[in-house]
Amino acid sequence: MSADPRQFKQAASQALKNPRLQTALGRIKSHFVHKRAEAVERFGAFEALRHEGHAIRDRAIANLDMLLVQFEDSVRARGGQVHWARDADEARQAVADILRQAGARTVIKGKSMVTEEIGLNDFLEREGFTPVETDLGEYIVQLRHEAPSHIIAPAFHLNKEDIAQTFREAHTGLAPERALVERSALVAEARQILRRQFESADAGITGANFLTAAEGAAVLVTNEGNGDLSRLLPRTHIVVTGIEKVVANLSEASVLLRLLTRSATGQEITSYVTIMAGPVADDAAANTATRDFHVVLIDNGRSDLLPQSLPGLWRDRWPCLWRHLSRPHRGGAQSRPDRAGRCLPPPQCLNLLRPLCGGVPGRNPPAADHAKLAGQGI
Amino acid sequence: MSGKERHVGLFVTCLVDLLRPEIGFATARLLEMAGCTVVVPSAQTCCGQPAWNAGADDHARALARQTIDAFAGLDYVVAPSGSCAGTIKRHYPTMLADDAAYAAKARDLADRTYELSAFLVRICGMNDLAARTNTKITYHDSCSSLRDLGVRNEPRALLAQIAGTELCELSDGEVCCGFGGMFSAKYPEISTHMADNKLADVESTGAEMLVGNDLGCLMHLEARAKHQKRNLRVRHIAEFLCEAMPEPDTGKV
Repeated sequence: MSADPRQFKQAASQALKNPRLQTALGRIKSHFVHKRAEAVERFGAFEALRHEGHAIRDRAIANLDMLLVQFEDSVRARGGQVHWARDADEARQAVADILRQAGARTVIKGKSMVTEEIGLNDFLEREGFTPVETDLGEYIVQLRHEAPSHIIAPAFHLNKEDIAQTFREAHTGLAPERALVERSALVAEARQILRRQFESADAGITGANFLTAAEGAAVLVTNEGNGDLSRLLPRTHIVVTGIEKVVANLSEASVLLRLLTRSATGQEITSYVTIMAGPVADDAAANTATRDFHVVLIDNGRSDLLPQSLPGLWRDRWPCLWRHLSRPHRGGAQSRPDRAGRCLPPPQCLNLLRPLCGGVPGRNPPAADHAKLAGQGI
Repeated sequence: MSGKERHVGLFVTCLVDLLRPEIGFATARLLEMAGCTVVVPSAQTCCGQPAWNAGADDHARALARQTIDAFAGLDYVVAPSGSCAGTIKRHYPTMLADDAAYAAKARDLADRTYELSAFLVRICGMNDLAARTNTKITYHDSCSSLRDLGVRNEPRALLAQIAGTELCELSDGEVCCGFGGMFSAKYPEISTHMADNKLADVESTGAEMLVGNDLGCLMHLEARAKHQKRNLRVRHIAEFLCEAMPEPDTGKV
């Protein structure tokens, strides 16, 4: 099945004719839709919470430019780096550049639909890296060279016999006569294999469910704990995510978190909620190597979907950020006066924008320039 | 509005006008029963929704301006459709936000525009239809009614006034039937599959009739039900209410 949106019609046509997939999707109704309805019922004022979430997202979209710049500043203040990517190609290159600089070869990954969107695994393999999915469902579909069939249940189209077969073909080092009948046996085997990957990987890539501008944090929900391991064990952690994930602060993210887990799996909260801010603090006894933390922020068409009135505002307030995110075909990044004829941006934000203006589009200027320019107090 | 007669402009909608005008007559009859003076401006056209959804913004705006002019001066505009009413109420103000001459007019029309069941219940306070039937029905909430307009209780409040009506709710009532206007033309296979899911849900309620307030959804489901030789009657809520009235005069001449 193709994950390319341009092939959607053909892929949908094939999927509709796949009885096994249709049966699986039928099960999704009881697994997700009904569980969500029950969770909503238990919560009570869910509609009010949805309205609050809606308002938070509306505010975030209206202030997206400021929040993203604030987010970058907060990440830097914690010792991390932000990489701007206008499209999938720039995002893939940014990840590969970080991995090369870190001298990384094997990369463990938490489940991330944005990395599916940009085709990261295939690209990394072509570039000589070894990406390993660690979410159980993603791991299975990766072994089968398939695309995930559902965003939160990637291997939902498979039954346990399919998975046993896949494991026997992939895990050739294990005893061929082993029993792989029970689900628990499949989970134990994947756990055993993945544990070695976690321990030896050079870098970890995760997605993010939310980014918080005030704290410079990426918030991630998982039920398997693989997101935490992907962040904590390797020396380098890269968060790959879209620009639309940013909200003002953790308090706002917590409202969205309540909505997200109930709506996705009907859970009050997922088994793990990880707040990832800056490089992991080293435990001197266990690991004395320096850790690094990167966030790759991807536009890849998202800013095309901003309300019609916003792109103008972006150009007015943040001409340099606009240039970072707008792709060449969009035309010039000419600033223009706002409706009242004033020329913005607000001066107190220029410190943040200066380093962006000086950089190559899509790349970060050196941190030293940032400090120097900020020091000028313009 | 007490002490003053309500002048209501009937926004007929393309589908009702061209394919099932009975719904238009039934709508007019219900509005008159509620004490309104019904006007049907002949300058009205399509509300512009298909153009807006297809990204033909300028065409949509031209139709929006025309609709605004056609319904100027009336107290209310009522449509037997959540989809067209939703376009006027929720999307015209956005569509024409930058139009100096029409932005305020668009907001004004949006404030005066209602989907039929919402208008009858919220504005007219219709609470005693004194009608009778003997039918087991299920009700399909269209996406536009539910999501654009927040209309859920109003049609049920009207149906509850018809003695002998047994309303059996769908188990997945918030799920789209697959019509989706342009969607059905762009993705017919998915659209048909969704209709089949909806019809299976309808069947599991045991209802003999499917009632709704958007002819787009109803035609989509009715055609699919006929194709599958299902024994299911499909009615717009205005038709259903009028058919249950003592004098089944739909105003046709």
